[in-house]
Amino acid sequence: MEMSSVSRQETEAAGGESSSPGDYMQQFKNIIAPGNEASMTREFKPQVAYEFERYSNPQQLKQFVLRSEKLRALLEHYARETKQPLRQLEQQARAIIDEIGLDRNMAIIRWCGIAITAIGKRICDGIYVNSASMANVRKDMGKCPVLYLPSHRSYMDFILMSYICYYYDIEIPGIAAGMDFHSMFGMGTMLRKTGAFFMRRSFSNDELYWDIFREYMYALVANYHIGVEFFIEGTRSRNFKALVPKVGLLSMALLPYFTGEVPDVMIVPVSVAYERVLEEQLFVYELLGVPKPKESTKGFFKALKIIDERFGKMFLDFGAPISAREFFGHDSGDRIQRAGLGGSLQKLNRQEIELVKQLANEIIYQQQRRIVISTFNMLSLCYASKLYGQLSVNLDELARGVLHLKRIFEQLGAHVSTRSSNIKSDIIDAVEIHSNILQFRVGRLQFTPLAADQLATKIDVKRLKAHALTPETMAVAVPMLALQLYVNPCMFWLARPAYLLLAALKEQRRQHIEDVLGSYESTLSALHKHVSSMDALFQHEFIVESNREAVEFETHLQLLLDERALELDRQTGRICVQDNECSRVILAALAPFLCLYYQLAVTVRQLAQNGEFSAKELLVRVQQYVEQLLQQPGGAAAHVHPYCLALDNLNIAIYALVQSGYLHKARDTGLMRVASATSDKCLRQLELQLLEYCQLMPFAQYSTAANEQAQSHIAKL
Amino acid sequence: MSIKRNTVTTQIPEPPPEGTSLALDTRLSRHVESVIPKKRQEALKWYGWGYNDSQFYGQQGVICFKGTKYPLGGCELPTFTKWVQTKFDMIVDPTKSYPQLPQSYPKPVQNAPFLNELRGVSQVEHSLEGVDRLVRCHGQTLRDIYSLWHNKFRRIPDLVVWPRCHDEVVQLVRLAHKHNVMLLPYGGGTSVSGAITCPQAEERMICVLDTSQMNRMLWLNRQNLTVCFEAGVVGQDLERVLRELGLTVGHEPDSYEFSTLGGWVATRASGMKKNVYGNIEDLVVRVRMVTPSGTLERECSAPRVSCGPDFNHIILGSEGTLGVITEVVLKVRPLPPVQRYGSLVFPDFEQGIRFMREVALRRCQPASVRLMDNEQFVFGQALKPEKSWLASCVDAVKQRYVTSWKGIDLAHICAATLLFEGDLKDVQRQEALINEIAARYKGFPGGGQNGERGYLFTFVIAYIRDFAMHQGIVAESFETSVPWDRCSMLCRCVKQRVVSECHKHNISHYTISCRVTQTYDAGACIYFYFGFRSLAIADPVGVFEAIEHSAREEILACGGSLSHHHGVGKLRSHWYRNAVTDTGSALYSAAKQHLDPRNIFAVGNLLPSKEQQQVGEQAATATATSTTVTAAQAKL
Repeated sequence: MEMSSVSRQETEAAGGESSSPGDYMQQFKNIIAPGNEASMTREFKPQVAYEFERYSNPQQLKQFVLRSEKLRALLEHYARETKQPLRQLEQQARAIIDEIGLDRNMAIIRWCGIAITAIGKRICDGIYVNSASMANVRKDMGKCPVLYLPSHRSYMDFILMSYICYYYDIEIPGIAAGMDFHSMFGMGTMLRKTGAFFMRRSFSNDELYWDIFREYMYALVANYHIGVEFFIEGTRSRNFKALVPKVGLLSMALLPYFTGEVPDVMIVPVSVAYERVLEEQLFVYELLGVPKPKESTKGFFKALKIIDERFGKMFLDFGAPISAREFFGHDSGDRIQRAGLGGSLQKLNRQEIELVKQLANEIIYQQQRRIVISTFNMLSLCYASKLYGQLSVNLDELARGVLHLKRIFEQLGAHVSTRSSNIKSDIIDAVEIHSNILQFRVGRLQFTPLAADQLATKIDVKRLKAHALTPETMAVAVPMLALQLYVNPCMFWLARPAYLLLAALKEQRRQHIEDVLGSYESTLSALHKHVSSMDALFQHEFIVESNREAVEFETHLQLLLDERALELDRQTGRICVQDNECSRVILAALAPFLCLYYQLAVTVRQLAQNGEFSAKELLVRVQQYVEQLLQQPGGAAAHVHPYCLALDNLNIAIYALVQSGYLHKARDTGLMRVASATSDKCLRQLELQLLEYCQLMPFAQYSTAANEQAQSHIAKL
Repeated sequence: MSIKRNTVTTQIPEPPPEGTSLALDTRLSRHVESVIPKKRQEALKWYGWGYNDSQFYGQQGVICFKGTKYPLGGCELPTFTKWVQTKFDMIVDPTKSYPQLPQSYPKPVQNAPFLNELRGVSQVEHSLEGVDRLVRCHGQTLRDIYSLWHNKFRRIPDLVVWPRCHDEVVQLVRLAHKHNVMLLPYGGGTSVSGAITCPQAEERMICVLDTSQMNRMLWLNRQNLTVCFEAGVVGQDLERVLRELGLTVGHEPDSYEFSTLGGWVATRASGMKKNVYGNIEDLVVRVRMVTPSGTLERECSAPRVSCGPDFNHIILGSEGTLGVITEVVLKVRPLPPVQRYGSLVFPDFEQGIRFMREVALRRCQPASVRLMDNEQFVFGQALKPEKSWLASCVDAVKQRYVTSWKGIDLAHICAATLLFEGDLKDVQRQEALINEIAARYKGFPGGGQNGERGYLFTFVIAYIRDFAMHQGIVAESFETSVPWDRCSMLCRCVKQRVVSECHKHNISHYTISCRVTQTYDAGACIYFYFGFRSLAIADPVGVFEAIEHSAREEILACGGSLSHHHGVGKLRSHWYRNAVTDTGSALYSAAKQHLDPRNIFAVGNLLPSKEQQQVGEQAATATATSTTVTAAQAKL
């Protein structure tokens, strides 16, 4: 098959995104502002996702699946395979479909709506929705099934989604929810009646279950009218940055398209941004290895205590709908073969799964680029860069820094919520909302010390995921991790500029050492090469892949040149990196990750001397080792950041090492060992390479300042 | 300023290798346990028709039949014995023995690079064993069996391969094309046109592609009432599997115990119940054929399309000369609730034909209606096993009733057998109408039992040929189709021609009979049975073929066709060019040249080998030299 190019005119139709960035933010409307609130008693006559002549109800949908020829054939298959009576399997199937199936009760939806309005008004400074993009999506609806794919940072995501659909008169979609909600007393039923359908999370091998789930999803997409919502990242990202997309649900939902039983599928990437995420503290502890409490109704009510806190603004934006057919570049010739076969007989082939993966990446890309960057995101980055440079910062310096960053982000194409006009009050407001992390103390910004009881809490050792960290470590790690979480949304925009800067630093050093100059082109190609290698290494960490590398490289280079962070001689190709505000913030964003990968590589080398090791052993060792480094007197250890303790990131990094062949993981036991070195894959080489990058950073000690703050606090206790 | 972006390009990964299996949920496929094992000689006779255990034999001067598969098994047939005596002046000789497997087999021609790649790259099972090769070197023509008995095959296949799916066939065809190995698709081995007889002049390595291990039911679509089977599925297996699901294809050629789906398609087979279910071309929705230049298949499952010439019809009747049929989508029907047999008796054949014409005119055919001439009617009656005393009495009374009350001459009497299928009410209505029409032509009902026996004997009759040859009678059937206006003339003339040819060859003991087995709007299908005593004849098969040749000349002269459903094969390739015009045969050759440029499917059907060779030489391109010709799978 030929390469089919999908020249999707990315019509930023959502009300002219191409106009100035400030205008774009004007399109956001606070839907809980006084006078804007939705009436929860009005008649609900929504625009359905997929229009039919006759509509079935949730019960009929379940019956449809149960009676389908496919399910019958499958049950017969299992009856043969497992030698169980068919009747028994039919009963199981009925039970499973009752467990999965969604329901609908308008009264409950209305009551929930009233509650959300009330709570939202109390804890939020506004729920801001891009009305223009909502209108843009709504006008195209009805012709084919719709998949809503929001970014996932918080449980609030799906509550918000349903609320907003109601607000804009769009049929509330069926939402794929985890079984943990199902088991919460009362919650399960309530969520089900507002449109949730349930999916078992465990990687259970219950084939029958998954077959039924697949059939249900198929029918929900192909034969039902409300649209489907699920989280393509699979779970909440505890890092506030995108996760590698999971293609399971997406392939299930796209199967009716591939089999030709629906004309197209309209995919709506949804970007949800929170000034402050509800689960923030929970995530920080989880990252450090204290496991998350099981979702329980009691926990939910406990969480209601949050209504005394402030969570700032929430931003929700719908991306331009992606047509599956256009994205895949299919014409009738490509689909004719599938259409010749009964839909229920087919599954996706390898080629199609590859296509779905590409689509998934594109969805993540589109989600991320519309996630609104808030003042606190930029403030965190700004503060971090000063902190790593052992500098303190006051309100004026912060205001300058944030405005500078706003310019950079807008240059890159991000949507920034900060208003230049009242920057200082914005900053003060942001710090107040996040007073659990940062505070002004004698005019200087610094970490808010952890409460004594928080430090003293005995950690249940049995529930630890890795190493038991000391209170001293926690005192530094918790605030610094929290800070990094708010830096992370910036990584979508800054990862590649940071690679480029590092590449430039490396190239600058080479030019200096070798004292030979090539040409502009040779320098560019060297930069390209370094950037690509970092892209490859961090591909699971920063999901920025989208076939736009070439153009982005140009944009980033231009940005760095404009910001005078780089100088590149047109003739000789001499490159020079300036240590300025711009280069510092960009590098500060990447630094914790670089440290993490480096320290992991070091630990693996140490551990590998004893042969094979398990993932858990490795995690424990990294945390032990990093803690030890952090506690060196005076913060003397270099290239270590408390973020190196973050388990999720360590796991991503380990996965990356396995995927790219540095580590070998045994399929049966899960034990790992260092793969025998080849010319291009040698773990030691990688470690040295990472070390080189760490050394090229304008920072060496990351936690010294935070450590001092924490020590003085602990001493006072 | 918003970020500039590349034009997003969807990178299409490598297309998947050919074959539906990749996109098909194979759990919905069903493995079919075949009655015929992979080593077919374990269940089937190597030297003749049918199951090893089923056979006619003589015992104390009486002809008997043994075999557990048929209701006639274990019966003595005194009437039949008497019929043979009067007809052929022969007494059964039980001492004659059946042939033994040869001690040695022709040395296989081996194409080493092909074999190496077959063993190295592919997973395809194969065998070079002599017996595996021998049992797949022939079909079921008189000459095939005669040659087998007298160990006359100079050339038998050199290799047998058993591909398991479409993809493996693709692999095999690619390999054979690459290494210039002749491929011979082989299904049930029931061809009676010489279509799968190993071409004796072929010098390349001959590889028989046995489709028997490729017999899964890939899917069933109850909404559309369609089913997809792999081409190697045997007729009775296919029907058995579907019957368990309450369905039927309803395609029942007389060979359906052994013949395969692929063979049906390759020969344009016809089934006994075509009036209800249609012939194979009516049943096929889609079909895939693997050729050296790619897989040919219509990409759509719609019931009918107007889309230029229908290439399904290049595949249907291709007789193995163009490629290998791998998967076929067929229509299925719900099993009929009622199946009822019937029979009619007519004073003479003419009246019977008029009755058949009227039935066709009014389009009220039951599932099957067959009209036998007097000779065949008598023969059929003779095949009845020994009767109880009471049954004989009843028969006597019946006979008396027929002759005296109805005033019918037993020397002219003929009968029709009927099979009705459908709802009870439907069947009753059909039956009443048929009886009403029959009455108009002096016909009257002869009872369901006679009808049922007629159909059951169909499968047993095939065994008589081997027994007869064993006893010194050569016998075989041949068939044609003819428009109504020439139908009875053709029957008469062909029988007369055969009689006079017999006289020419000094044959005094023979039987020639015919029956009308199918009716259409525009004509009918006629089946002839011909046999003669060959004890004193040096080359009985040669004589038989000469007479059959004359009979075919007569058929063609009378407006009959080359074949209704047996196909052209090698036996009738002599007339193919005339039957389709020069332009037609050139068109076929051009298609052949395109699909199979190296002529690896050189089985030599349709066009006689020499002609094909000439065409090949004319079209000789740089690619390859075609030596001999073209191929097929099975008989009706």
